[in-house]
Amino acid sequence: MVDEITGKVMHLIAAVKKIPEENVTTESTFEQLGLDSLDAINLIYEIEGEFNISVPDDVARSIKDVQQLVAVLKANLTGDTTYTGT
Amino acid sequence: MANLVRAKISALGTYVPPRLLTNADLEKMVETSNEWILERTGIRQRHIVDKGVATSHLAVEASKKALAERGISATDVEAIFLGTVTPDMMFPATACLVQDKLGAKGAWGFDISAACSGFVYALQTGAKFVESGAHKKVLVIGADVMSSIIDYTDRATCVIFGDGAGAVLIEPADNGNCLIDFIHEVDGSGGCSLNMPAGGSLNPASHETLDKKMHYVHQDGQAVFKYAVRKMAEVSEKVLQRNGFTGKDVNLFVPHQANKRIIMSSADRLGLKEDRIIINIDEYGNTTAGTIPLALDSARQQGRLKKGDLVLIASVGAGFTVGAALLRWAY
Ligand SMILES: CC(C)(COP(=O)(O)OP(=O)(O)OC[C@H]1O[C@@H](n2cnc3c(N)ncnc32)[C@H](O)[C@@H]1OP(=O)(O)O)[C@@H](O)C(=O)NCCC(=O)NCCS
Repeated sequence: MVDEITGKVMHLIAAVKKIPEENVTTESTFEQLGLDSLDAINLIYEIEGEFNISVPDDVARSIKDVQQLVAVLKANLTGDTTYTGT
Repeated sequence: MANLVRAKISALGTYVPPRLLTNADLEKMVETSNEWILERTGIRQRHIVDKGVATSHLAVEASKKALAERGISATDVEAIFLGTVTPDMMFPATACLVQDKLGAKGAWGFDISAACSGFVYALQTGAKFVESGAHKKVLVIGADVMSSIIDYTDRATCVIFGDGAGAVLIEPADNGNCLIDFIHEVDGSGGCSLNMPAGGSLNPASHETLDKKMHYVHQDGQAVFKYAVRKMAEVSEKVLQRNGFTGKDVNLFVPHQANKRIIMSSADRLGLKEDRIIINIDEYGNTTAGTIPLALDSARQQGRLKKGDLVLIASVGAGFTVGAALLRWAY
């Protein structure tokens, strides 16, 4: 079972990339999902809006997969904005 | 707002230099590929000037077409507002050079430096002089020769930009088919993300500035992309809402042509389908202040711009500058 935050993130990825939600797994890398650096910017922007957070650009640039994205988001939600998840 | 006089666009002319720079040409100049450029930007080709052709030349050609379309002579023009970041020279203003070349003897004017929002800012400036009753015929121009400030060894910027110009005539409107509203914003903290560092009073031209390539466009592409995606949608929504419209009412969305991916994600957020959006970046690349009039002209040529259509214009550019205009096409 994926938790609520992870589920929301996976839903947003599918929406941004316009792909079926079942294609997105917690193990997916952005490359596997066909997300390039510009898609990633769009995605992080959507996530910032959805969760009302702000991800610093250098942290955003380092995110390469779903797991890392969720980790960054969860850290950010607890006030740690510099965690890169790696 | 109870404005007695409203303003409208009454004519449009555009000009691009004939020479093409295609993705295949760029493949021979830098380490890039047609596929990468198309996928990341949507650009196939750009028009580039020959040596000795400057912004004023493009501006004059575009202006002549606009005046001819309206059937008036240059001496009827009362003011010229010209958006550009590539003036022929630091001074005099390119608007003055255009005034002379056009023979617009009765016109005053100046340049507006707002990068990719230059045309939208000039458009509001022109509209206000007409709405205030100060003038009845104002020429608003967006023109840039970006190839003059591009480093053709830097693949991150040289694939994006092209040269081009467009001009519109602003006159008083006698009905609701007019320039309705504008919203502009500046976030000067973004200045470092897109600029040409030298040639001004901070870093006057020197051997050092030349050696360090400081007379070229410097860009943090991702920072610009993120800001543009956010702001294009935000400012568009704001101007629609403020006038009682939603995305559904828009007949034509005319976004600044910086990157097809920026355009599509802004349009997505506004809930606009592709048949409501003008995209011609494939043909021209990013011509900075030239993109909006060039896009209006493409729409017109495709039969997609009709009298009474609600047109939403949006731009984001170096500065950062943000602009939006809402209008009903008047002819
Ligand atoms: C310029 C832009 C297309 C670059 O896209 P991007 O995904 O941010 O590209 P990046 O700089 O992250 O580079 C991604 C990769 O492609 C490479 N790359 C950059 N330009 C390239 C080119 N022309 N051809 C091939 N590869 C290129 C990079 O070197 C990088 O490779 P790496 O991952 O091995 O390091 C994009 O950032 C953009 O359009 N930004 C907005 C610019 C804009 O609109 N400016 C005008 C505003 S008015």
